[in-house]
Amino acid sequence: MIFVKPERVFLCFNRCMNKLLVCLLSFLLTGCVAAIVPLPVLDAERFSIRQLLPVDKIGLMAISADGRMLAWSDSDLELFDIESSQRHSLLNARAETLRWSFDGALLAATTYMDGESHLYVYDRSGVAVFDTHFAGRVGRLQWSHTGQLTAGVLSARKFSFGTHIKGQLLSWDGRWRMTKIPLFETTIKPTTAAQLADRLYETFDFDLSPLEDEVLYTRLYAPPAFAATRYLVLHNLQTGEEKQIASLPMLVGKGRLAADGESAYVTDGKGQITLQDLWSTRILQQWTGTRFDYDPRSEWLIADGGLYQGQQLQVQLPPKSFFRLSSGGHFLLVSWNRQLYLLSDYSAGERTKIGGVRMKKLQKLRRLRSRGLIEQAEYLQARERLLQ
Amino acid sequence: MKLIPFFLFLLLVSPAQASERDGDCLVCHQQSAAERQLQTSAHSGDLGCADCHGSDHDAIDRGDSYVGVDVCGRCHQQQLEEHRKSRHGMGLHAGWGCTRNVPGRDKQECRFCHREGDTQPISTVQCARFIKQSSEMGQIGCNRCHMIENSCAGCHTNHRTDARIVKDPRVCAKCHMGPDHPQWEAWQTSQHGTLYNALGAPDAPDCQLCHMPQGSHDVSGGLTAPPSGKPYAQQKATDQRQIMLDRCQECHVRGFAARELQNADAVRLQTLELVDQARAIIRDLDDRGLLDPQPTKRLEHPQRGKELVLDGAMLYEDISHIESLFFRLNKYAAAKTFKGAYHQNPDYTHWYGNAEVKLLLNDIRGEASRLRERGGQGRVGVNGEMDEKALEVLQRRHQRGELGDSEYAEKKRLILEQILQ
Repeated sequence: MIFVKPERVFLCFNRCMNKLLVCLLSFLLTGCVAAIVPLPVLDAERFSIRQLLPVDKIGLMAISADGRMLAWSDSDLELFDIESSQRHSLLNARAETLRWSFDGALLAATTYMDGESHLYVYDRSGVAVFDTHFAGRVGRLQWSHTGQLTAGVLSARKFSFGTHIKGQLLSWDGRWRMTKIPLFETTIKPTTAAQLADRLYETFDFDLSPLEDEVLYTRLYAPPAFAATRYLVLHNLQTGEEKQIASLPMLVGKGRLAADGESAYVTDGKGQITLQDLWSTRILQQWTGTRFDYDPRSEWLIADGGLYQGQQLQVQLPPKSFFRLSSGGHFLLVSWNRQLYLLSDYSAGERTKIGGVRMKKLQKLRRLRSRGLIEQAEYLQARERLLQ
Repeated sequence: MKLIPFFLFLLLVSPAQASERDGDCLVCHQQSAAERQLQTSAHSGDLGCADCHGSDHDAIDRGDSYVGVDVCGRCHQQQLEEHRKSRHGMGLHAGWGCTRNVPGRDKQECRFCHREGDTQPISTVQCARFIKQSSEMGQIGCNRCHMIENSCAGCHTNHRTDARIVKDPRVCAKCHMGPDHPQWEAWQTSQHGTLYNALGAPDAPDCQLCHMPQGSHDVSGGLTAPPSGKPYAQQKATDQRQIMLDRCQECHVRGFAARELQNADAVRLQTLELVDQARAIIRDLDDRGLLDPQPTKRLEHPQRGKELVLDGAMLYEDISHIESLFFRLNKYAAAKTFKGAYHQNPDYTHWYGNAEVKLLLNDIRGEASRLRERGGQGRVGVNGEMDEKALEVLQRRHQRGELGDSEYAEKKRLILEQILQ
């Protein structure tokens, strides 16, 4: 339930008007608006809002876990050190995906051209520490808490009778080894392939569980004589067993695993975001919105510009703002009105870590559940005892 | 006036007409054995070649005008009905598998399972052992017996009608003998067989006296269990037993016969229990992945793929050693035990049967122990294991009904307990 007192709205309005006045004076004196226009959010004093720099247009962006390094890509890929204002050009090509590691030490980016993707990993100084290329197009990159990088790759081959697509995960172990994990292969009918055209790769999305043993992904199913469907599927990486979670529209909608690995944020792209239990399909929480991001503890969620703690709206970003949480969830990067802002200090805690032995046992229990060797009730009972 | 067409019809089908029409056939077949046999049979003068074979010589040459039971049934309707409701009436169902995907098969084989123009088989029971054979082996080793469903000639021979042939118990011996169902041997060396050898019919019991009384073609009358040995439902078994006792009573006091058959029933159930023990050992090994080779790592079963098959569709090839032992135990030794018991043959019941069952069960236990040891599970029981494999074994046993719900839940709880420690 969201409740905002009228006097707070009035207070905020006053504050904004004052700032706009200052802004107008500043414009008259310096001719520069960008330097001082504040981000108009309610209760701004509760957070730290830092104005970063002006931007011409919204591109792909990512902020490091410590909120210091900003990477963005439009026609090329650049790295910006917020503290020193130093700028590094990393790549003379448009990146399709960008992702900082959880410790903020490494930045991963991919480019795509002529059926082939190129993966680059840079350190904070902009030096490439790893790069490789492979067939297919990367839809998403994800770092694990243990420093492993995973790319979701969709490759397609066109035939007269349809297009054969293959969805797989490519994992980089942080040193030199790449591992392929095939998730699905299917042939889709020519009409569906033609409708999706260049956006075919967007039908494949994935999210690795915080326990790194399961992956929630979307797979397209459109064989001849069947209606095209896109399924959200939970896949256990150790057993290969799968569980269908939901059906989603072709190009919108995704699922993201929550911190406990037992529930997932699911959006159907039609204005509803739900946190649902993956095994009972019970809806645990619900928000309004289509785009969302959340912190690794699953405490904060930002949906269409509304930053929620649980279901309580804490910050409402102005309309048409672009947002992205840092990998650790401590910083919120906002792009609005051709300005970049960094919102922080909204008390995002550290995620609870599970120790090695307990983690292994928990993974084993999840493996047993995925194979149907134990029931959900038995699993929950055992999990509760293990995490006590 | 209305009767004129009828009289014309009688003239057309009269023996004289039949003989005349045979003239065409006899141009070539005058000296054939078939012709000589027909002339000395009860059909002589009544039937011509074309009455059974049709008149399309090309079709006959192609083998398309097979004289099946339907042809004989036109006149011998009662016999056909009895034949069809008996086990002989499902000889092909039990023995054949669909061969359309098997290379080298004769297309004519289709007619044994499918009525002309019908893609649905008469029965869905299929025989994997048949599918595994070469076409030639299938013809001789399988079809010669299992074609009985659609062949009166299998017992009666092709053109003769002499009742002496089908009243001789040796006519049954062609199929009802051998290691898998030695009814012939068990009967011949029993007291019944001894009497028959000394006195002959009708003073001594032969196959026909007990199983086809008064010329009945229902050979299954009086039997209380199918070939697998698993008993029929209670009511059916009771009814059938009464039918058999009526036959026994012609020579024996009913109480004596009932006791003898009850003893045989008991032997059969005791034997099946041993078969089940052996089967459980092998299933358990399969559950644990200890068979050598596992069903998943050998040629697929033609009907059930990579599944372990220990029932009537079990193969005797492309299986592990321990399964070979089980095949002998189940298909040979167990069958000898209860076929021997029902035919009152002490040696077949005991030494060829029961003793072999128990010796083979010993061998299976020994081999299982060796396999478990090799797989590193020699001394660990299901209760002592705290791994995934143990849960998998429990689940399969539960699915097979070997573990009740509460027992299954309790065993799972113990394993989870150990995982959490």
